[in-house]
Amino acid sequence: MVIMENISNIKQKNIIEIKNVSFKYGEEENLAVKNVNLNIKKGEFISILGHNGSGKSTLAKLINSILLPFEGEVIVKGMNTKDKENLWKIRSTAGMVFQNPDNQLVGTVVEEDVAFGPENQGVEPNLIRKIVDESLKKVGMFEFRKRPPHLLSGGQKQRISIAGVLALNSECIILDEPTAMLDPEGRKEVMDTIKMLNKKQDKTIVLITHFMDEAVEGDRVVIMDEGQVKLEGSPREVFSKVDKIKKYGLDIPQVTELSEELRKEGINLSDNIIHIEELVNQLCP
Amino acid sequence: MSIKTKNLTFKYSEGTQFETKALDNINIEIKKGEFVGIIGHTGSGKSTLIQHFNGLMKPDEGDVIIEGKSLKDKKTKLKLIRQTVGLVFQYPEYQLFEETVYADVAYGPKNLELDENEINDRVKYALDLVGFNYEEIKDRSPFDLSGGQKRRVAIAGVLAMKPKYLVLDEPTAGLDPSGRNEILSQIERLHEKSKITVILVSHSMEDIARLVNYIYVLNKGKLHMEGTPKEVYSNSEELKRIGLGVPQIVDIMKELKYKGLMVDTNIFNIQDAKNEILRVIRGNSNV
Repeated sequence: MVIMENISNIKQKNIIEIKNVSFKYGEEENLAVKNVNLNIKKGEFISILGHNGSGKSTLAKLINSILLPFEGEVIVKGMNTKDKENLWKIRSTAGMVFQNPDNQLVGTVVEEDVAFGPENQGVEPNLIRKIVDESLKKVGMFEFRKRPPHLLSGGQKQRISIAGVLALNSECIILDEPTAMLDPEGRKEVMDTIKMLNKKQDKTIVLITHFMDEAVEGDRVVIMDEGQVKLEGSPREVFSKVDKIKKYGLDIPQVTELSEELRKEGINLSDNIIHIEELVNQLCP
Repeated sequence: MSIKTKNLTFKYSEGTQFETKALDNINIEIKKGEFVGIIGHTGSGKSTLIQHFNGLMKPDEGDVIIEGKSLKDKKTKLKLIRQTVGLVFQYPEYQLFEETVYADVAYGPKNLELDENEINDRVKYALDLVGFNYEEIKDRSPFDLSGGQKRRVAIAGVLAMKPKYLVLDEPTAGLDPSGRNEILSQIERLHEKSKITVILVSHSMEDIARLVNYIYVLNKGKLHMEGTPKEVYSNSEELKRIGLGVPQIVDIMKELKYKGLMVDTNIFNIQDAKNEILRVIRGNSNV
């Protein structure tokens, strides 16, 4: 019995379990995702990096049951994505935000858009009002609730998309390059919102990104290449492997690269700098 | 020869309660051979401005003069203006539609009713300029290429029109770091090799810092600031206030200076930052 309890404890901790998963598109010969094993803990903030075509987005769609594994299985909060009955439960547990804000807003007014999910779930109208208001407050967009979405900035639109996911009461939010089309201010707004939801609301975050300075904000970084997980660890561990990262067609944060260059010149710095303050504090003790 | 705007103003929803000035009295001149950057937050007027450069939009007030030809002048042939100024939109790969790379790049020149040989030469020229091996790429389907490659094909399609000015709206958005590098180094090479004037619109302060000689900063439809990258990025507080940023290196150098390391803060690439930090540290230890 004790053993059984331990197993169920472990299962509770992992909100997402990806077990030996492979996937290929249609008749293509190459696997888009190749034998991936990855567990994501509840409350974790994980970033997935990799060049275009490395399998990142495919992996995200496998979690969300938009795609089903060719081999292996994906378990979301104990539910297998292969079971059709679980489909809507899985999608509301792990909600997704996509790259282009203009392709995912459906309402003509902000609050309608956020209400779309709960309405489809058949939630009572009074409760919907409450859910929508709370969700909009969480992303700092409550005062914009009566505005038409097309008059908002890109960062604001993405925050509305995130509110839409929150309205489904998703425990996990998967974001596929949510800042790719945004200006610096919009990027900051979205990243601040993601960090707040992770820290204060205990939301599990899966962030797919090409921006290294966003990836350093998470607890764990996963690097994918040719459909496989090639590197995994804390941002500090992963970004210290400068040569490997460049081999996978990725960058390292500018501050890490500068530190590395200075180290090569014999300046005494630690080999795992990822934040500006760390470099500054080590150079100016 | 240049693209020049004179008191350029453009309004959306004119005469209604939603009337907004997307552009408000803009006066700039981009001379031939320059490599300029346009930055500004979403909605600051960047895209509206560049659509005036090739006559896709016409000024409500003021004028745009392209190589001496006024957009206000009814005799100005827009077809000619559009050949002079090539515009590459955001996510241009969505506009690829032909079955082969060759056919896609040849589409523009064909519409100019050029003869076969000239079309052929132009396709070769354009694909070469964006770094492709013509023989290897010409028969491939554009849809089998990577994101960065597709985008280069789309840019080649504009270059095949032999424009004197190339305007690129967010050419690296959505690309991974190697795709970003691929595009930027091709643009850099293109500017050096063909002496084409390049106008780059970007949200990436790093990209702008790396490439351009002169920056225009737009804010709420107005020209807020202009100057060399050094001049513009030295106003980092002001840039942040209007929703922009500075390359991470600028932040590092400012922070170091604040903490007492007397480095020059007018630096925005890693190599210069390294040299400057070494100069100051080694200078100090010699004392």
